[in-house]
Amino acid sequence: MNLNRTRASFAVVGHPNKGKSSIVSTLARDDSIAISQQSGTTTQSNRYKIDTGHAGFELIDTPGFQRPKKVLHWLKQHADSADQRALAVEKFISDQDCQLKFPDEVELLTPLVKGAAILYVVDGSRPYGVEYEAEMEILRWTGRPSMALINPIENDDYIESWKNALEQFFKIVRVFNPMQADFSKQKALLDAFAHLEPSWQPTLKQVIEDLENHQQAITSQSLELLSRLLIDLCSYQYQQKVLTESQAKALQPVLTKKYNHWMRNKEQAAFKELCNFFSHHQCSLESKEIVLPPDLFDSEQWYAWGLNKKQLATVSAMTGAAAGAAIDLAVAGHSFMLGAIGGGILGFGGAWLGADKLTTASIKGLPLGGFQACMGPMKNKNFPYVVIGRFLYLFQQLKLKNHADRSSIIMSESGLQEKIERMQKDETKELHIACKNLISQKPVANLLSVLQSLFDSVTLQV
Amino acid sequence: MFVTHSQASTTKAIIIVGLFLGFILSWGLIGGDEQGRVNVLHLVVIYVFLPIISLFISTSSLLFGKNWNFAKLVSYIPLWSKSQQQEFLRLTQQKNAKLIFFLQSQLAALSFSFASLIVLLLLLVTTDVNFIWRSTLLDAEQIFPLLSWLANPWEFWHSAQPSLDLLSETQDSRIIFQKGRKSNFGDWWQFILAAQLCYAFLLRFISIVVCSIFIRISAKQSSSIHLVSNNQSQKNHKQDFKLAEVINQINADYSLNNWCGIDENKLQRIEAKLKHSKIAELNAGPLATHSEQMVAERWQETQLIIVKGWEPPLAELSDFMQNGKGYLLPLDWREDSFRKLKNTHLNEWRRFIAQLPDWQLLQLEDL
Repeated sequence: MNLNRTRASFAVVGHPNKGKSSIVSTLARDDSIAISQQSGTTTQSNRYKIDTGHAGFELIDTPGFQRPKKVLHWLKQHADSADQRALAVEKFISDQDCQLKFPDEVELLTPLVKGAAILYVVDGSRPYGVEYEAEMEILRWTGRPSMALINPIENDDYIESWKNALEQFFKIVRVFNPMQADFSKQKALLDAFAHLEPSWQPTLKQVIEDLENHQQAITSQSLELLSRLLIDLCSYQYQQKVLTESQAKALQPVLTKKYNHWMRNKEQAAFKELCNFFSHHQCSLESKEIVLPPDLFDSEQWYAWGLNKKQLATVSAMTGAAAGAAIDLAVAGHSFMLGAIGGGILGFGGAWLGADKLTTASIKGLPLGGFQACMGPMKNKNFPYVVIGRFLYLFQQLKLKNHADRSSIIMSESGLQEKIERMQKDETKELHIACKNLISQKPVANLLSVLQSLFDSVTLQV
Repeated sequence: MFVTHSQASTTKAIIIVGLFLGFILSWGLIGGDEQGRVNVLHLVVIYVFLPIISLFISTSSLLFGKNWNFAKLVSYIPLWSKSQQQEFLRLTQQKNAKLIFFLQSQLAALSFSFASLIVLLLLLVTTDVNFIWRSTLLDAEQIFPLLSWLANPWEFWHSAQPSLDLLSETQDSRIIFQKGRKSNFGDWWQFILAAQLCYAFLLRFISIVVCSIFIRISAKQSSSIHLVSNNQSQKNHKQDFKLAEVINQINADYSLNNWCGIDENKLQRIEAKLKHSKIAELNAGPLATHSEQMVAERWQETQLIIVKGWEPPLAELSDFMQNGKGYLLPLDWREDSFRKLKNTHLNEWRRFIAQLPDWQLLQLEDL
């Protein structure tokens, strides 16, 4: 499919400060689009090409009408009958005098003349006024497919009176709040767009399908991100080798600081990544730092090459077995693999029994053993739930947050208990086992499927 | 890129394990006994059957089983560092974990083959390798068809094909002393090399390429739908502005210009609050006729223009005010009650009036 040829194009037009840029921002899922309470900030049309993978559409954020009455007067002077109206609009945008006198109207009408459909935006929280009729009439003169969007900026008190007026000028009238419209409402709006121009229907249907898939992909990516975060935070250990136990203990404050710093940074990086999944690149988080329990410090003995007793025994067994196997091969199997077996047993036993002596042994003054000060891994059984709770809260907020909404997200850990309660009994049991295994540093093979149930409960809630 | 950066450390380690095993095993095998004798059939097992069987097991386990392969087994060795253990744990949480483990296994097998090849070439150059074969049950006529069949892929390489004569001449027995026999024991090397290249190298290379393609497809599927919003125009926003002072009373008689078409009742309440008198009424703005507009545009006396405070100031009002002077009164109301103008709206009007030196912004208290 040639997307460029069939790409639907919509010019968002209307009075200044009625939420045109907010609508563009929400539909384009782009939080970098400037939204200002100061009127007249958009002085040029800004085109946003939204590519959803297999299709796309174009939104054009236009300046507001500034001199609609005079423009309509000019147009009336240049068209005697209805068949000349679209031509008069074309003449208007190419007229040099008009370009000087009515720059805003020329800018906003140009995309319409070039084939864009009209999305006319009004504020449904303020009463209808006849002064709007001049601009609606101008839009009607363009002959382009049109839809009116009533944006209830503060309340919905005047929606009905606006509907009554708008239905006389526009083919489709919809109420759409760019700050609050959830995904289903955005989809419904795109579906309505498809009815404006029959040739755009396949593209816009593909856009809707892509967006649905995109929503699923975000959930899936978020799920993987949370599982990685859980493993990272539950298993992280910061360690430093020293010679004596007192040296190890003296390092506790430094290690605590570094450990906490790493843990918090890791969580913040995951939050940032989650925001990016939702294309909330500018979103700011007001979060209390994750609380880390204070009892994570430990000091243990270490041996040659920095291996602990178990690791040292394993490596010795493997080295012994490899050396024995080489002997077996050299004698073409005459030894009946006794070399490998014997080497492995000897290596393991030697390392296990002799490891403690390495603590005090040294080669040419270099110590072969000593003590290791370490922070972590996390042992607090509640910790995985805290991590899951915070992550899911942010996920839920981002799912609800539209791109026109520039407020900060205030982080919370609450609500996890309710989500867990909504899970099936066996799913809850699996979650508790998974969290226990995470804290015990055991692999959790079904972590993704366990977390999936929690994400499902969030999606249902949203 | 076959594997992502996050798996780089474990992949390297698994490749090193493959190299190590290839080197040890091949050195042990091709090094031979004290006479330099190497059993060709052992080599066939290691360089032909082992790669084929292991590839079959790992592929069928990938497709139908629990994905048991070399990399997965190696990941269970309790020797990995904390960070590598984390890497393995993270890997198991990925959707394409099966493919990545499989790929790591193929890379290990390739490195095993590479190490074996190096060992073979090294020993061929530096020592006399005597390829023989021994069997209790089989004779040369029985083995030959199998070896000929295995050599089919390199049919074009004549010197690497097995021959019945060579098979017969290189059969060995440990109790029959064969010193002084025709010295063609080295002639097998090309067959062994070709078998390595074909069954160990090429096979693994193909499996790596296929697996990488699947990993890429899987990665592409999970990230193919990403939204790209591309702003194609330059933004041009006015940023700098001043704010005009707000006055609470007028200090001259005025001509009333009801720009927003406010009703008579509200007009009377406004007039009652003003300390100066109305001298005339004008009609200009969106509701005025062309002739009313013309009259208002030529008006030189002090005006009081009433506008809807919640609407932003438009250029048509600004154009009109360029030629006159007086006061601008933006108002907010609901039904019959006036409301205090919102600060954001008031600031819009203050910004607007700041650009018009002959005009003042009026807000009446207790309206």
